[in-house]
Amino acid sequence: MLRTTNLQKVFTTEEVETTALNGIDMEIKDGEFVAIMGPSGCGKSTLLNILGLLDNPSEGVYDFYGTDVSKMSERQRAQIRKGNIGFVFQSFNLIDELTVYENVELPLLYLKTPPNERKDRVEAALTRMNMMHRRNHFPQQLSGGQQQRTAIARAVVATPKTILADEPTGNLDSKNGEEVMNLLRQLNEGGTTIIMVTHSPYDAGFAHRIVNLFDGKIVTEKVHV
Amino acid sequence: MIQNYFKIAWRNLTKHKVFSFINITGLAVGLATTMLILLWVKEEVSVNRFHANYDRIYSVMENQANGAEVATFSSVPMPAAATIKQDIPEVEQATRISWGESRLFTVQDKAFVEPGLYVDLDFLTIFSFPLLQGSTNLALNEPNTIVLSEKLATRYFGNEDPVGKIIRVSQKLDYKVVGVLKDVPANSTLKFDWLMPMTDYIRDNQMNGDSWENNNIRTAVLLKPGAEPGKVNEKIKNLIGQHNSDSRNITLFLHAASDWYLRNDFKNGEFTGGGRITYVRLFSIVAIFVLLIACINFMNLSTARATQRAKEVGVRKVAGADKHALVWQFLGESMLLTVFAGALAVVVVATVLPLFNDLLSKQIQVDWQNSTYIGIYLGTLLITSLLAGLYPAFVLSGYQPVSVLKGGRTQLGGGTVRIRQSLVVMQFTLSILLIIGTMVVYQQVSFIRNKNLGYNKDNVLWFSTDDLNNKRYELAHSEFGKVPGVESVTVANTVFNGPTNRENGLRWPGKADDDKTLFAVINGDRDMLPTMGLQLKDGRNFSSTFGTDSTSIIINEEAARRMNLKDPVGTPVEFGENWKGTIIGVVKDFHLSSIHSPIEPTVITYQPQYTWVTFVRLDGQNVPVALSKLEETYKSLLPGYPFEYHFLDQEFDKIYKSEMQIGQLANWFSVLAVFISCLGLFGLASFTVERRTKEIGVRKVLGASILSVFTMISREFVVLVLIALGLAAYPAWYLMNDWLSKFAYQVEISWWVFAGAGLLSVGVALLTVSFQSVKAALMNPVKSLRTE
Repeated sequence: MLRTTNLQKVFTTEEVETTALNGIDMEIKDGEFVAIMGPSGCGKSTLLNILGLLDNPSEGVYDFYGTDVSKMSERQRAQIRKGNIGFVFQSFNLIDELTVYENVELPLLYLKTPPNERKDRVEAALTRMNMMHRRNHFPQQLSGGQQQRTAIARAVVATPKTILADEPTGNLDSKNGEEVMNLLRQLNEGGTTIIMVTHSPYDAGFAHRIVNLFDGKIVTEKVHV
Repeated sequence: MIQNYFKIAWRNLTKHKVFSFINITGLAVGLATTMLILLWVKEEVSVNRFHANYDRIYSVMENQANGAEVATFSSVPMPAAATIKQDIPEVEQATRISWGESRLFTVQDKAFVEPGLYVDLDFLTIFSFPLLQGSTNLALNEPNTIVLSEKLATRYFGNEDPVGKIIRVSQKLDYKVVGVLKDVPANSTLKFDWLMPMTDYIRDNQMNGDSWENNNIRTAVLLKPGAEPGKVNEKIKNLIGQHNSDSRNITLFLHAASDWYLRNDFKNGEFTGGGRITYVRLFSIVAIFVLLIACINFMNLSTARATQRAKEVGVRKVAGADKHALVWQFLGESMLLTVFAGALAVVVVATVLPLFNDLLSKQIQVDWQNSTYIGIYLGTLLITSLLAGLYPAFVLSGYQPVSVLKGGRTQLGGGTVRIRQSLVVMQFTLSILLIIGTMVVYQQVSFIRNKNLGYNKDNVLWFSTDDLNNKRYELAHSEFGKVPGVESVTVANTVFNGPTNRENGLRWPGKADDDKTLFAVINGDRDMLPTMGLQLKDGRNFSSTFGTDSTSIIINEEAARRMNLKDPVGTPVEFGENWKGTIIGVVKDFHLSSIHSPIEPTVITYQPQYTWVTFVRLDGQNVPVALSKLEETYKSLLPGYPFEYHFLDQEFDKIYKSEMQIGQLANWFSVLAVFISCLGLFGLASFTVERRTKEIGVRKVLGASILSVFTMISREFVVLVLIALGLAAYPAWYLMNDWLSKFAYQVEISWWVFAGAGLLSVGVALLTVSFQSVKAALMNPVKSLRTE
């Protein structure tokens, strides 16, 4: 279970101080599918980064499966991230110099998974995302939908408990977007916790619960039945 | 994982071809340059080291004091060697070594003039010149015996056994071959193709081998193991004075064989530790400079490109990479690149080495299979890759994924940009230092070559006429003078830039008792002044109409100054026991030795019979014809002798060969340094343009002209080069002044050297950057803004 208590995030530059998150209390149960919505600049992505252990809050507590991670160093966070969290980005963020296969393999390399097992798992993930036939292609040779499916394969290959998706359909047309959302739903049905930031009410419709942010605060929560 | 790193490194290399080209070329040129310099340094340092007793061999040198002035010479009295060996318990062996003689060898129809040395028996045991045939104990034991180099043995006797064979020397004496030596290695300062007994030298030159009065021979000693040279120095110090009370101002001391080549500078009798070693040190520093400049390229280009790689770093971090893993990855990349550059550098060195050897008259060879070499080279590559890769590795791995992944684009902080700028400044500071250095060396070298020597070295040649001068001088003089194209002929006992006789026994009215001024003594004839172009300042030249001119002397201005004579012409002088004469003329000062040392007080005598060389001044109209006629005359006067002539101006250039080589070397290195720096600048400019594409687009939309965009981009770099110029100016001035101070006559470093270096570096930098600036200025703003 993920739980935040009075989470604050303040960005300070030389002249301005911007409060991105202002007292976020939320709880995400294992196996939940949560959508975070809100206008640009409301703090959605900041929240997602903190939940994904890419960033630290300025204040407050973040309990990640029983451990307070809010004060951890980048090094410690990197250790916890490994294998526990998968990321899906709007802009896919595949490494251009690596093939589909190699991109998906990357998290397993950092987990030091033995080669045989690695091969099996990468192939399984690619098959699941219907990308096996493209495994030797480079990202720039793929369509947007294919790139995002590769990115999802990479996010799930280490079978993390949680997947964080930051506007996963933002750069896709509706058909490819639908396909990506279906994949996320399947993953969630398989037991993976999914936290997704989105602008799209349609995509949010896939979630169990929608959290609405405004000016760094949770304004409404809506639970789908 | 490592496989993954190499994969991505390789793909990065092939994808960004310009970047890879700049990096690999720059690094390869840097490594090759460094390798060549280090090979040269190794060669320099190895000189004379092949002697097994290298650290126990010393030469005996002497200091001659005259008032507060002390002059150092390598010539000592003939009996010194034997006396030192006998009297000083620390000395194991001693040998005299002649100055390097050339003798005509004749075996049947083969006749050549060959260079060699007259030495004592101990020579072959002190030094490691291994005998291939003959015995070290017996060779040179008897008069008229000779040891040949392998080369000469083959030249005269082919495949036959040379031992026991006879060689006719100078068409007078028969010498029996008693041994064959391995050819003298290139890194030996003692160079010879034959050895003959020192006793023959004394006999042939009618010298007194027991006289302590003349200092006329070189001497080397071998100390016993563990002997302290300092103690020996104390014991030999006053040796000459003990045997000759007139020479109490002369002291002896040892000069280590390890210093003969690199550290042979003495100032006022004190060993300065200077000499060629200055160049060795200087170029070692240059080697490091050049490598550093190449490494800076790598650092700069890698951090400049960081923007493009930020996304990769973010993705890897998100996928679970920690900083360590990324540091290793980027180091791996710099290593891969260094390996490529290293391999390319080896190819470059192998290709360039013959030219390099040619330039420096060296015979440097690389043993490519030598494991020490390979080890050192791999070590250098490792250090280079760490030097070049560490900083970018830490910068790149320090990216926060949050900031780079969202937009897939990031800007580096001002800190990194400033570091990059500082590195460019450093590169150009080093390059400008080299440019200024090269310009000053070039100026000094041409100054020396064109300096008024006080005599005219153009169109003058000399050849050895051996004993022709003392037997048939008048005939030879008139025969050579008849050759068409010959303007005048003279004889001398010096070649004007080689060894010269020096005496301190000259006496004149008013000379102080303790005055031991050494005068260079040139024996010549009545045509010496016109032939050599010496200018008479006062009095008259020697003349055949004055019957007594054989005791007249002409002095130079410096001699008149030293003798304290206001009006020297007519002053009576005495020399030795029964030589009395008069100063009949004064010539303007001229250089008899190199321009490293000041003009010496010099005396010219009318003694053609005591000379061995003939100088001929040509009119320069038809030199080949004159030369062939001279050869004919020479061969008719000295049948059997090969006609070997030397042009004075060419010989003169040889003295300054080392300066000229250093100049050329410096020239090449600064060109390379500037080249590598510019490669880096080119790369940086391209990244700047890329980084500022949007800005340029916006500016153009707002009405910026092509020229203003060009200026904007170029200015950024030109400012850096100007800062570098400011930083380099003082150290360059200081270092070059220090170098110039080694010369007795030197150029002034003028302001325009700095202006020239600045103009050159700014010009080259501007040219390099302009390719990118023009590209940026011509960019279509619509396109550049859309890509944003």
